[in-house]
Amino acid sequence: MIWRVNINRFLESYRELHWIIVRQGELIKALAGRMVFEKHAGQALGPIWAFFHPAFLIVFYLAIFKFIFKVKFPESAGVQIDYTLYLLSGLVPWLAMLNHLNLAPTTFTNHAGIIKQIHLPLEVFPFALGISSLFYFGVFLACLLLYSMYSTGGIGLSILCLPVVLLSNWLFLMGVTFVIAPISTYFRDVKEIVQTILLVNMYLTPIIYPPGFLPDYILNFFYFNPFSYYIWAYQDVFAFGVVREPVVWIVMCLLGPVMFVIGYRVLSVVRNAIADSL
Amino acid sequence: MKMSGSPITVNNLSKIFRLYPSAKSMFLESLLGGKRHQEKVALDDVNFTVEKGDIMGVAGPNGAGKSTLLKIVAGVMPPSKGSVEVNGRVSAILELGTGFRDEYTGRENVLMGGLYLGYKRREILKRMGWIIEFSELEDSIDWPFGTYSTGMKARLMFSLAISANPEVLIVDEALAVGDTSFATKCFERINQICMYGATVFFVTHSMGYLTRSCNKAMFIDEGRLVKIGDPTTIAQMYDRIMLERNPEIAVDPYDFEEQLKLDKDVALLECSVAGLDSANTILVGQRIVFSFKVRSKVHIKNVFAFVQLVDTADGSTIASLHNRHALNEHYQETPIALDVEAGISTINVEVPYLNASRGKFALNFGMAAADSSYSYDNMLVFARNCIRFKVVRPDLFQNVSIELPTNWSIESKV
Repeated sequence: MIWRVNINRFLESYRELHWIIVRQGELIKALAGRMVFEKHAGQALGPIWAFFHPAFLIVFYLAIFKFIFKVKFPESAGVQIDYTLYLLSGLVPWLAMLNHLNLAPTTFTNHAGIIKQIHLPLEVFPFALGISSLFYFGVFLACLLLYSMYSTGGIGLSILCLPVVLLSNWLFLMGVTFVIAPISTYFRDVKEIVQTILLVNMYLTPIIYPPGFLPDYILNFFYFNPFSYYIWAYQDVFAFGVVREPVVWIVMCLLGPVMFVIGYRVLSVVRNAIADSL
Repeated sequence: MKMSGSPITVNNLSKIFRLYPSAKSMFLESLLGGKRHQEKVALDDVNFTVEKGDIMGVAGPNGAGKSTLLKIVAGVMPPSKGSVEVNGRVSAILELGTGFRDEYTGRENVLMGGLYLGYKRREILKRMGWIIEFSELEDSIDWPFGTYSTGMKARLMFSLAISANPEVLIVDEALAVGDTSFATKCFERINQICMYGATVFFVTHSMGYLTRSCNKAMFIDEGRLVKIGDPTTIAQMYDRIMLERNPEIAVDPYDFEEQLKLDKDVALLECSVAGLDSANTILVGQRIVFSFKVRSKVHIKNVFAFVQLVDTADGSTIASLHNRHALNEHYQETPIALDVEAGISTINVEVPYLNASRGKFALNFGMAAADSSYSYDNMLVFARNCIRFKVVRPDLFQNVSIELPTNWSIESKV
């Protein structure tokens, strides 16, 4: 009985969410558009920078690792693929996530003026961030795909799994935003904490370490970092072309929706206090 | 929730702000508990209803809670206690510049601002022509918003907010910006919206707007709803209370005893005013007589006496009256000779019609010998702030320095 009541409330809040997205779709879209292109407003090349920036990063990393360091997998790893592709398969999605997460703490504080003056559902701001970061994911992953095709000489069936990873990853990022953004309105320090964690998080996931490079007991720590699952999945899609560990994929698929639900619950609880704390 | 059907229904509304001395104490409180904040009551048990078609004006001193009330009614701030029910499509202008960014053009800003207000892109584009025409910004609409003057910005935002037919329009002070003709146009539009059955709820410090444009008004003070009534009553109440609280420059009263001890040849014993009521108040235009009781040890022929009226709000001298430069009722200079005998004499200064407008005044009295130069140092008596009184206008007034009785007439040629 209690279970059913909870389910109903749960469904109700998601119907509400759906309604907000439908009703405020145009605003979310306009806000997201501004988030992508505002950075480049008033610049001579304008929106071109939004595309150039990720492409440049990829070329830069490529130059460093492929031609300067000439890093290769150790023989013992028994892996046939190019290390640069392995690195970029984890790094490029991570840069896209980083782009989203760095902005997450300021989701509400950046719009304090609006929130205090106009009555509108607060969800539009995290969703606008989500849509704008989808754009960046698109640009980043397209560049990565191009390199992957060049490196492996074709496009594998594994690309069909990309939408699943992307969806789960996006839901996960939204869930994290729903938690971080309102807390940041109380404690502005959250922004610094988040940025500090993000600074080192790349080294706490299997992005740069080739398989077999680290002892198993360190590798086990990666299982506690939710971001590792996405990195593994992206590596499967872009570098290996196979699902290396099905368990990773199962956890990865669950992580996104679970985090989204938790995040949305948190936001629903603290929503009323946000306007006061801005 | 009970649906009353009125556009705005406010029940037992209270708003308490928690004020933290620093971000650190807020963090410690949430972590360790214990009260580390102060509470400020911004609104205290407010109840009212605004009926369909009403233009309700909200008046009150600064910090009374007007803006908080508007924000809660507009739905951007949650109440601490009580409930607010608003029925109908709301358009709120709480602050000028909301959502309008300098780097975008006026047109782009109208579009975005409209989306913020909850309109569909299609609706906004349909109304764009009307908005541009109403704001009179045809020439600059495609220029960046940052190049606009404050008045132009206000006009554009206002035009957007009233372009739709909102059922509830909430406005905070915004009308103070912009020129008079635009403000008039806005009120015409607001009246037009009201004729369709919309409701307007707005805060103003201008009692002129309040009485001209509202059909109802409320007075809020220290978070409490003091009175709801017709705008004229509320405007008078506002004026009276603002006058009472009018900050004054520090005025030290004249110390008669201290001055007597100096044992100069001439001393001011006492001064009094005829015409004041018990609260030292006089109505504008009434007769007032100042009397100065002077003790002198010597006979002084043809003294030079004067009275200065000082407005204590800003310390400015609004009138300076001299016996040798006195004006008669036809404003012609008519010197009056005054001789002070040895002993005690009383000098009376009558003002037949005191036409200083409302305010608080202090009075300086001075007397010099006929042949002395006119400076504060060699005066026989100089009494600063020896009398204080207040002038009021019971009916509606504006904040002016003088009041002139007038005869009005009109001549028409057909």
